[in-house]
Amino acid sequence: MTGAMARGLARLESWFSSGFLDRFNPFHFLGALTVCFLWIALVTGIYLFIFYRTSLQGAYASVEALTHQQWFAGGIMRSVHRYASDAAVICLVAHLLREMTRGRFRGPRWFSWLTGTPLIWIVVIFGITGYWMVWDEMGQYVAQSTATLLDALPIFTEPMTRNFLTDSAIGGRLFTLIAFIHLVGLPIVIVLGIWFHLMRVRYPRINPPRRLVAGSVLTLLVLSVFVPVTSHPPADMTQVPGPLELDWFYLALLPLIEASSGGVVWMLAAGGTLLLAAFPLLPGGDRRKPAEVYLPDCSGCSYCAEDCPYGAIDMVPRTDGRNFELEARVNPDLCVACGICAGSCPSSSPFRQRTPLTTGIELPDWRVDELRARLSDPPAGRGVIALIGCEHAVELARVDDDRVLAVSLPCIGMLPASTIDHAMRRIGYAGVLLSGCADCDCYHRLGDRWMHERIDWQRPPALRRSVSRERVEVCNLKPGRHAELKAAVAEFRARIEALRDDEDELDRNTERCA
Amino acid sequence: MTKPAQIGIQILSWALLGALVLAFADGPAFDPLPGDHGRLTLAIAHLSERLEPCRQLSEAERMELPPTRRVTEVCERARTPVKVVLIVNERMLLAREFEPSGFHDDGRIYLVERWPLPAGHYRAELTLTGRTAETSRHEIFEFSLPHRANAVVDVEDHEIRLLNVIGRNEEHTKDQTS
Ligand code: HEM
Ligand code: SF4
Ligand code: SF4
Repeated sequence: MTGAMARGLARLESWFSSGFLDRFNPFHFLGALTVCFLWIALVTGIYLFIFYRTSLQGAYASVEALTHQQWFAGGIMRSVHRYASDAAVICLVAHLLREMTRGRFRGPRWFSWLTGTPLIWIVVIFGITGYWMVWDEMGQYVAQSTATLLDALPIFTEPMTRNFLTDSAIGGRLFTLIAFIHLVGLPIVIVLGIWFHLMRVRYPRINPPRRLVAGSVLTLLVLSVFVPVTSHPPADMTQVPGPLELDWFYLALLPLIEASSGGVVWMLAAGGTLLLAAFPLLPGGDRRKPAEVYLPDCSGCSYCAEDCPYGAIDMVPRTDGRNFELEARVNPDLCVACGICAGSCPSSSPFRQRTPLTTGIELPDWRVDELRARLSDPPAGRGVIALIGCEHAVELARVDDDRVLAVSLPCIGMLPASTIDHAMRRIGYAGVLLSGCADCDCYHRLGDRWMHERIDWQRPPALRRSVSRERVEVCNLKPGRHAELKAAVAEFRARIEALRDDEDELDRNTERCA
Repeated sequence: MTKPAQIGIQILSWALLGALVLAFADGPAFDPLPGDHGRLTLAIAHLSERLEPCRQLSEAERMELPPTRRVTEVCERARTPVKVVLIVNERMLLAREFEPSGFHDDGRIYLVERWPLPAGHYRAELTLTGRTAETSRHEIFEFSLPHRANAVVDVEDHEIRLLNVIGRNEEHTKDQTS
């Protein structure tokens, strides 16, 4: 079921990739885009704050002045502030749904999932207090509704709703408190919340590419110029506010109070939150065992600790008395079993004369020995290609080609670069085609990047420089794009065969000259 | 894919985001009231009578107390529940007994309830009845409720007022003992 949903999502995202290219596909940056929109809201909010009056009497007039007397600055800022906050909700929901569809709440990722949940509340409270501050009819409605909600909880003896019976009943101090929460309290809380959310994610992508930032800002500006935000009439307690052009991104639950009661709305919100938070408890997602260290092959080089996307490896003082300072140690509670560390370990080289092949660190369920064994049995014939891919990317099995040997890894980052050299020099493959997740969308976040850096000699342990890069190709594709993979195989084969013809030509020429 | 087609998809994507934002940022409109209605709010913050009246201490009882605490009178903290009945144009909107707030039933009785009512002329009858020695309160207000008006009948201890709309307090039967 999740598999089918993930494939459907990949198909949808492919359409966006065809326009943006994978490396700028907005779906690959939903968390970062949420942060980006929150930033825009912060910056525009600071401008609004300069002119805003935090008093009950001054608030509405000051917002009106911003909107109309300086529509070209304050008005636009106000509209961008509103629309950026709405776009943040859209990206937040999309981010959540995407992580959910891809099953990224399982295993050690429970932490990011669980710490994401309260962020929804923080963002919604941000919006609610923001609408309150305008103190127009919508602000009045929001204030009365939130008061009804608070009264449904056994917190206050004197009902909050008593504050909104008449114009004179409203406390100026309550109003200032709300403004303070919006302007100072929540910004601090959300920064801490996001920091907590990303605590276990190493090298998180917090900022989207510049191109997407530019697109976001431009979109908000266009909306703000053509559909500027205005206020409702000023709050008036002698009247019931309405009809209201609600911002449903933030206020969707409030109308339920009229339809049911404050208690029901709390039950729905709390129930929804608990349900979401409980996702990591769902069964399924047959998990591999965490990585294991094999000290006889560990020299304490720290490459694996450097590369692990989840900070699951600590370098600790040596315990086996060998003449190295450090050794790797895996924290199984943090390990998502991506196998990237096996690709980082210099001991994973298949050139080592050892059977079975052991290494400093690897997945007990997917050993480097198995990788070497699988590759050492190529189909017969000339021009055979080793196709090494990742189980989260395009499906290799769909390449039905008797001169291709396909191996799917938990992550392309698990591939030791030396395996490429070994496959061609020792086993005799004509070329190696690597296939990872789409650009900037590695399921394990960093595996694809490390693989690229290793074959481009930017990251140890790198591919040997003498390996002909013309015989190594990379093809990053989303699931479902096997037609393109087939085409890539055909193109790669043609290129290799041309190389072979060149080489044969060279050989003949050399013979003649000799 | 050609460059112009790519740019087209990018523009379309941003337009999609913009359209999604606009679709829900400012509407669809919502009205907390049905058409041509106003609202009647009953708000009560009322300290009811004590369950037991305060009692004067005898001299002997006073002498038993520590010298710094020799009060003349002791009062039980608990207060009586109050039955609230609201009848509007002969229709009973509320008839319920409310307990005092606080751990020792010593606080006020609080209530805020709202009813949407079609705009029109109303006669609202409010009765508060204590269980024991509580004095009973009975008030009748006549008022017209325009569309969207938020009429409030506010009970704040011993003051009962009609707020936010123009009306008439027809019968004033304060402190009728039950
Ligand atoms: C204000 C709201 C949120 C912001 C700004 C935010 C931002 C981010 C960012 C920047 C990342 C790192 C992405 C990367 O480097 O690949 C991330 C990861 C993640 N987020 Fe959120 N997020 C938010 C809310 C949520 C919510 C509500 C959930 C789900 C309940 C969630 C679930 C996750 C998960 C599971 C990951 C980890 C993915 C992994 O393990 O690789 N996030 N988030
Ligand atoms: S398998 Fe992945 S998560 Fe686990 S230790 Fe290795 S690199 Fe880290
Ligand atoms: S990469 Fe290998 S050798 Fe280096 S610290 Fe990790 S396990 Fe040890």
